[in-house]
Amino acid sequence: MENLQLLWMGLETACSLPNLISAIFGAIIGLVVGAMPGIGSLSGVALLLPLTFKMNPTTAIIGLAALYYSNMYGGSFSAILLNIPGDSPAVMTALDGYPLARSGRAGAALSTAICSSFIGGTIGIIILTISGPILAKWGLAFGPAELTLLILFAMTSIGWLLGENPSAGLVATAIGVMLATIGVDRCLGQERFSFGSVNLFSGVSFIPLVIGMFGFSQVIDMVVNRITYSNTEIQKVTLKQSMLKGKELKGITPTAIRTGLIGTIVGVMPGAGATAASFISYIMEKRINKNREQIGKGALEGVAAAEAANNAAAAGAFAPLLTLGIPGGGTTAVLLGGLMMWGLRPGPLLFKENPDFVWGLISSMYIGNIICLLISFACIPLMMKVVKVPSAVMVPVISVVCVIGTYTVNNNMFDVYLMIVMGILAYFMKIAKIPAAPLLLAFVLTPMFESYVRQAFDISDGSFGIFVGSNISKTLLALTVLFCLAPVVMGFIKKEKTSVDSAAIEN
Amino acid sequence: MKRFLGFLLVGIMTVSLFGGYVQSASKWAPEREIEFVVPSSPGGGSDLNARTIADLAQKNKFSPYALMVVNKPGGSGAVSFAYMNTKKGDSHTLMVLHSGQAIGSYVNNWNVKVSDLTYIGTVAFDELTLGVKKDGKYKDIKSLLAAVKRQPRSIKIGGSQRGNSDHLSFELINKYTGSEFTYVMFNSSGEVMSALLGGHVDVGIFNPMECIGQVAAGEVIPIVTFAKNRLTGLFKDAPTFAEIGYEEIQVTEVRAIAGPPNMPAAAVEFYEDMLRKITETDEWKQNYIEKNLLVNNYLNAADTKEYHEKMIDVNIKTFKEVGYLK
Repeated sequence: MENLQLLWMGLETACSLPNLISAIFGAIIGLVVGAMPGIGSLSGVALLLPLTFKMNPTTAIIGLAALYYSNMYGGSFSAILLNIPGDSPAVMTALDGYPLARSGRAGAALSTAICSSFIGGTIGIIILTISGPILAKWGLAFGPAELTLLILFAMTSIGWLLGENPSAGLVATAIGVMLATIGVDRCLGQERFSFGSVNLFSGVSFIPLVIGMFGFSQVIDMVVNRITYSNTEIQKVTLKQSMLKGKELKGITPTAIRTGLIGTIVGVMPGAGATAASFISYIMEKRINKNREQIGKGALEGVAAAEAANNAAAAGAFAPLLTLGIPGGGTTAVLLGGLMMWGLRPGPLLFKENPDFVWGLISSMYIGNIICLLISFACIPLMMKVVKVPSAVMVPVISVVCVIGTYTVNNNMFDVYLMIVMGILAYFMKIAKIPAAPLLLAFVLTPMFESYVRQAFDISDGSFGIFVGSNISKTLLALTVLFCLAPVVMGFIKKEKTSVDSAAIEN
Repeated sequence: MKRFLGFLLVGIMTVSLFGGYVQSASKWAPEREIEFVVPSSPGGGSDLNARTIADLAQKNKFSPYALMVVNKPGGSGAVSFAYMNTKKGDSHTLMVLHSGQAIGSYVNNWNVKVSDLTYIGTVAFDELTLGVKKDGKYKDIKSLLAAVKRQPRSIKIGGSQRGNSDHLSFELINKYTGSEFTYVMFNSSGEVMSALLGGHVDVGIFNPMECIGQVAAGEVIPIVTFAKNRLTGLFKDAPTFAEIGYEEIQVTEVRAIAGPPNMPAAAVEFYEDMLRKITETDEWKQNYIEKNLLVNNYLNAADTKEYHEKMIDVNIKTFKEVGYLK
């Protein structure tokens, strides 16, 4: 009850004019930044932070927080329309969003992304309001050993669950792992596979990789196969048509609620973040959703799972930041720096010492989410124009976006060449029917995995016992084994069945 | 959206125009934005240091162009050093240089050493402390030392990165108290704090600013410091190692600023001056130094160089003695 009163008090703070303007401003910038490939929430928040120093801390954090979560909305736009995930949490969105857009259902995909972002985000904020401090404490139970197993669980599932051919998925995963080991080792500072090149010294950057593998390979595909958008002529896109039908809404709502819950929990864990959240949720939906056969080929549920989860994770990430003063990921770490610079002392006393600030922020997130919802819907007609652009124009435009998006990250031409090479690699992978998504996800997860494993072994003095040391570890380990064995067993059963079937046909 | 972007661009340009700065004719001054590299993730001590400097330079118009803070974490700082090496002779790139990385470049034998870079100035000194969880097994340094003597390698100390001052202070404890603690390396002090509060490590090595929020809340107790003299405020109850009989265990970190190799002398002079002015502002003293329990101590380029060379000698000697270096 006390929380509700404080929330109400915070709502008054959040509704003051400067704070509302700040939230709207943050939401718009976040959408733009999210939709632009190459710039994510991290650089968005970092760029705007210095501008907020003269502001009242509450107004400042409301704006920056809005930027952070609305970025998750924006990230889905380019993923769906151009097949270029703007930031790593949107990778899973592209898997279903782009096929949907190609089959003329871009409007539905966008609406799904927006609606489920809203649902996921709201679930995250509600959980944050009710049980933020408890949740943050619970998140601490995830130490290096538990996080190692969580990542391992995620990594073992990718190969099997994406694409029709599990061995192709494994190949992609292995390539991703290998690419991730290039550069200075995070544990001892030793160089690996950099061949003396300064550009490879810090490893392969994520942005060139993702833009190349998704966006640029798409360009090659369009040119080589002379792909034109079918049915764009007849498709008359209006906002009204983009709205989801009752049945579709009914289909994605349970998905969004489920993945919203998971996303929040993953978001609270130290270091796991929105990428891992969208990813774990997607894999879960691929297993349990009614429409699981279609997920990965262009299902609204797939978009819903990824988007609800990454928005929920963005909200969940605020729990450790506000209650313990510990950042869960890159963007919240910048916000932590912001708190210090605004003269606040992040830590367990923040709720007591600055209730206006904390509850003002939490309340503003409810409002901010509604603002994001409205602005995003208002953008749909504008974005739908992208779908109508003929391929002859689209190809050069996407190419330019790919090059600029890559170059802006580090102002380095090497990244652009890398992006092109990755695009070509991805194109051949596509021909060989090797899915690109497992590669990217393995690439994102491997460095985390390596750090956590090293820490776990440091703690246990080299003993494997640490990985069965807690109930969380045991559960995760059991799930991993289950996920590894299930496809093998299922495949065996299926094989038996099909061999009987084909025998029947031959006869 | 295009129109909006246009407005945004115009807005940014206007803002940068209004950064009214009168440039004197004779002296060199930056001609564009300055890239300010932080060799670690956002949110840590180096990041806060860089952002405070960037903010004060802009606010007080000590520089005609803004300092853009860029985080380039990785390899305990080696990545940023390598990056600086690609900017040879550039006048518009700066880096926050923490003594940990200066030492690490030698101890971990990076391709680019701190002596390759150009020293510009020192802005602050920072202390180190050991913190334990309030409901943990050990409440003070004496019981901690007694426990590890009884059961060597049973107590884990978490620190960020390796071959730096966190690691050095750990090695010094092992060496001079004759105990055998285990070092667990994390990527940032935030991760160390998570692990400490979650009970995954027993002790954490922190700068005062990295744990003050937890200390104020009583969640973390500082049990000992590596400082020369006792700290004040919330840390006043923690003894120094010298007080409990280990005079040799003393570590102070230095926060300095460096430029790429062969930075022109005129540019060094400009930034030296900028840093001196920043460290003299009240806001720096009150909002940065005091609040984060640092020691304000400006050194110019030449003194910074001398200080670092001496410090590196001492460190290499210690790491050799404990066998971390051959």
